[in-house]
Amino acid sequence: MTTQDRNNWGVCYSVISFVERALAGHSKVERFKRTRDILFDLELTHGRRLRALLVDEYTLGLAAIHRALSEFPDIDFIVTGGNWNGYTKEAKDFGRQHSLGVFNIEEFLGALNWSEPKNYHKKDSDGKPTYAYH
Amino acid sequence: MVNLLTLITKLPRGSEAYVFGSSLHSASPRDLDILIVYDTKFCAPRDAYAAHEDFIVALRQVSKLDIDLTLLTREEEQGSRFFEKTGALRFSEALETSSVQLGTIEARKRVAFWPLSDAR
Repeated sequence: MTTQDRNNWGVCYSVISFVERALAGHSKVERFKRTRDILFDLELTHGRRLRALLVDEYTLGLAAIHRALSEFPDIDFIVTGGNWNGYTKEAKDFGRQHSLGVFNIEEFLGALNWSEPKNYHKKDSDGKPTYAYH
Repeated sequence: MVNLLTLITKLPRGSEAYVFGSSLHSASPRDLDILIVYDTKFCAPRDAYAAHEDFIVALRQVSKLDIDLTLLTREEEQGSRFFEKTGALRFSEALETSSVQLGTIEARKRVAFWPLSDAR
């Protein structure tokens, strides 16, 4: 878990550190490695490997999604740190169409418990899917 | 010196800039939260960051603050109700707000907005 190069996404160390602590304590995470400051390579306990980019966008939109894919083309997830952060419906839909998981950090940590993490969604009291739409 | 009018002309056609976050309320903001709403008729999402870079670079020079940029299409802004949630102000409105407060705010914010106010 080393820090390499500061990021140009404005993600501060407190957010990175929070995510590192959360992953380190996650029951489904065997190990992880952070590179380029905000890029996380995870190995889950059942052997699956995932690559997630951490950003800190209050509202993650299509432009940020495209920028992220341009700079980090091999990612499986874009995660916006902070439970108060979210994404637009357009960004989520783009992710679904391109096999890219778009989550806030709370959702991402929940998704790691699912067999197909990209399909993860929270549910409301009626059992209907809810998303961190902004 | 870059002034407000010059800054606005650096925005691509169909784009509008707004200010939100702590810079509207804090005397010494850590950064400047900027929302740009752009029109996909003139700018594709994949090109949005590059298309608005000139504006952001100039704004950073004038404000002497880090710029925390959010870029949304018009449809995304409407769907997210970003204005309603954040109280984002149009660039010109933010300047007026700052001008009203100039007598009481700290020097750093004054530095951030004086050059822009000069252009009005």
